[in-house]
Amino acid sequence: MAKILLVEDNEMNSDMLARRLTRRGHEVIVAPDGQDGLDKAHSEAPDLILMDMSLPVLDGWEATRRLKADDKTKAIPVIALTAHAMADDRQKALDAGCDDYDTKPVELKRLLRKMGVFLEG
Amino acid sequence: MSIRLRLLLSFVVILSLFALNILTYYNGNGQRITAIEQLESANARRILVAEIRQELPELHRTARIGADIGLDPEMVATLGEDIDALGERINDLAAMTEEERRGPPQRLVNVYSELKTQWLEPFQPEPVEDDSVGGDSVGGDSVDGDSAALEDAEDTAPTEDAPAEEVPTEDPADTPGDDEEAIPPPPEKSLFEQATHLIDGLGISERQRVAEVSQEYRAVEAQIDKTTWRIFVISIVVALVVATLLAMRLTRGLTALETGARRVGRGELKHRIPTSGKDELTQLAVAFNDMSGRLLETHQRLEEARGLAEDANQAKSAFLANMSHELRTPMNAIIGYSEMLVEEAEDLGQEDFIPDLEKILAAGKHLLALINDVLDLSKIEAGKMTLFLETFQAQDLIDDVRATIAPLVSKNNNKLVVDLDNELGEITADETKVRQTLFNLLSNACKFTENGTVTVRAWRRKGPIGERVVFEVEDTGIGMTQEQVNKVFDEFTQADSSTTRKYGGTGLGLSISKKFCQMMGGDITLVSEAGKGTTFTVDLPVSVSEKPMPIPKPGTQPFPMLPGADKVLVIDDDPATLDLTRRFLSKEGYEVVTADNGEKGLKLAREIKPRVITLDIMMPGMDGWAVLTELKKEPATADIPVVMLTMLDEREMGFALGASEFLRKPIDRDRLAKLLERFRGQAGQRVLLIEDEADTREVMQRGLEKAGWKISLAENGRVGLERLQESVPDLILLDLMMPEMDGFEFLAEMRKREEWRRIPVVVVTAKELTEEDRHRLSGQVAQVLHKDAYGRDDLLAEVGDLVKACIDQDNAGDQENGAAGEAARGEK
Repeated sequence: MAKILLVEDNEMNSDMLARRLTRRGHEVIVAPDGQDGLDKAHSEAPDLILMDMSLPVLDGWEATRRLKADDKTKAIPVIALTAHAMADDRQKALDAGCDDYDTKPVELKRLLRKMGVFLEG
Repeated sequence: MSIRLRLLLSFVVILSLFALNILTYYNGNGQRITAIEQLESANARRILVAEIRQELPELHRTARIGADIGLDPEMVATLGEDIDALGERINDLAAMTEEERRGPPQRLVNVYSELKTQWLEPFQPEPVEDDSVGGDSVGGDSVDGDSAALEDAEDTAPTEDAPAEEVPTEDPADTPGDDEEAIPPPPEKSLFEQATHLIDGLGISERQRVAEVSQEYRAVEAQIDKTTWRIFVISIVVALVVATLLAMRLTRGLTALETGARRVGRGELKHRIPTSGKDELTQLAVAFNDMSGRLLETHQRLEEARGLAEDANQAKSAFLANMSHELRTPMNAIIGYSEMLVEEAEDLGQEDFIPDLEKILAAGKHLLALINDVLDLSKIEAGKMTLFLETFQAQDLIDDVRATIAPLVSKNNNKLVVDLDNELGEITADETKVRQTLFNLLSNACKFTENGTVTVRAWRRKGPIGERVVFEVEDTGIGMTQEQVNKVFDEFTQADSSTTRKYGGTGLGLSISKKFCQMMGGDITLVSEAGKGTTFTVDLPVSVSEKPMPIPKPGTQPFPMLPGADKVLVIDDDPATLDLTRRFLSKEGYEVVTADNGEKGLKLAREIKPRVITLDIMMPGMDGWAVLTELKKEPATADIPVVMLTMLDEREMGFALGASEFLRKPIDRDRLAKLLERFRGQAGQRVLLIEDEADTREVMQRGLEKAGWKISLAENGRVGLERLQESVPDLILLDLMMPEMDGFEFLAEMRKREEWRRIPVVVVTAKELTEEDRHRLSGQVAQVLHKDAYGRDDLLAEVGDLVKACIDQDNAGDQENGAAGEAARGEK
């Protein structure tokens, strides 16, 4: 249905979310760190990026800033996945250029609703 | 040197000076006494000399005359006695004279003894006389006849020239004596003259002596005076110097102590009082310094302990936060995979697994909720919880929560009622925290209520520090006892530990919610009654400030009152009215306390001292009038303005207290006329005017007559009732404040008679209400009310206005109001 890039370092989380999104008909590409995420955003040109914020190599905020600074990738919507109740992280994510955010643990229905806004629009 | 020693020394110095003074006095006194004695003696001698001088010539004459004429033996004896007496005196004089000056008097004694012999010679028998003369005079060799006795005496004189020779050397008066010697003077005469000469010399010398001694005396006196003064002045100077030195030393010590005590008292524990010397003050200063030192030590230890405790607490919070974070990662996996498994089981048709998987999922979610709550709490405690302010529609938030809570509501067969103010509008707050709070309260309400109603209300109100938004969650559930209410916001305590087993939950939700609200500058309060239900009230600023408010320490007040709000006590027996008034007034920014009967109302009035009391007139038991009487009787409550109101149901409304309009004094005639026009259609032409003030009565009467009304007058309620008996008017104009029977009593009496009940009454009051006020009032009425103009909301607006007026005017005197079928009145 849509090509989604999931940037997430935690293997279990990424596996889980990838499988559940796949089940709902999305094509999911996984990147384990910020740099890999940036590379894959360029090479795969996904429809949407789900970005964890605390990532190795290059963190989510920096990765997003670079994505949004690049003409080639800046149109791709980025949804930040932040830890629970971390207001600072959320604000930082929005400041970095994320289009929306959702809190972890992921509540699938809510995340799908938020993704829907960008994918349908 | 110690103060004691110093004082002792000073004392000794002053004492010695005192002793010296006394010594000087005694010494001076001795000198003075000696001088006085000398003076006295000189004086006495002078007197003696004077006497001798006077008596000597007399005796001489007597002796000579006696010798010439011859004397009988008796007279001779008398003469002898007189001569002896004078001799005694001359001896005395010699004895009294100081040794060194005794020469001349002694000579006088000698001369006198010769003279005496000379004088007595003629009267003595020859042999005896010879013997006696021979015995008396040393060189009495010339023994002549009786007749030549006196010549004999003359003869003896030259023989006894030795003393006479000395006289000239002493006395210059003797020089002529030398001339006389040239012409040989009669020897008798010579002896007498010698004596006279000596006595004269003595008289002069004694006078000189007196002058000399008085001068000496004065010198001594002056000397004593001078010495005494000197010692006195020296004493004073020494005493002053000693006192000043002592005082200075003491003051310096005390000032240092005082300054030190003050500084240490201010918390400068490191300050030390300078110590020099060894006196008691220094010792005190040393002791004081010692104390400050210990205090500082203790203080530092406490600071350290506090630091350690804070560190420990921080560490605990940090540990919890980390722990929670670490726990959440596996929890996510458990929940995520469980959900996935449920989905896959559905896909694969393995329905049997689903209930078990859902149990794992539910347990996982519960555990996650606990972890999240613990994280929230530890963050709040560590002061790391931040606010994420957003501006959002309050209505949307409530709709959202309502949708989320729906399954929980239906679970216990409850009904959810949402009653929102139309003008909730936007609020600026941490939306997530407000949502969490509301969700918490609602899920609690649903949990503890079965087959009941959960009501959500929200409105805006004016607070003392800006506009507030209030969310109220009311349930008809199991409620709580006072003891449970007191503990309900504590962490990990639900109303009862058994409730955890029965109803589940972490027991942290209310505590967290309250802290969230406090951070946003608001609070959660509750009212609960066991068995009847609970009402939680969330009160938040419409616009939360960026900086989180410090969370007040627990254990203060179970129901924190909003600071600065004016308290209004509402006394009414009807619960609906009570609730309505309470909500209306709280929306207006007042803190409302309610009482559902007169006794309770009185008790509360005494306890909380409200700014204004609204009081229902008709209540079972103690009615409004009785309450009012009690309130006014007590000095503590006598000054609280009371707004009296009564609400009557629709059926009674038309005739009960029957006030149809109100007018303010002073009466505007045009307004009066205009107002009365409204009644002209329904009423006839007759008006009963009950008014105690003659002036007002006259003004109104004229105005009414001009407008074509027929007037009957009454000066108070009692007379008014009499007028009613005479004829029933079409309209009554009624003053409320009157002597004898006031407007209220009149209305109450009037109400008792069926045929009078329907007479429209226009209440005339003393309070000025401007057109603007009325406009504002009616504007508000339009927003608040749905009923007709005689509805009770109208009254509420009116009451709100009155309460405001009461507070504005700060216990203003009369507030009277009767409006649209209800009467409200402020008592004096």
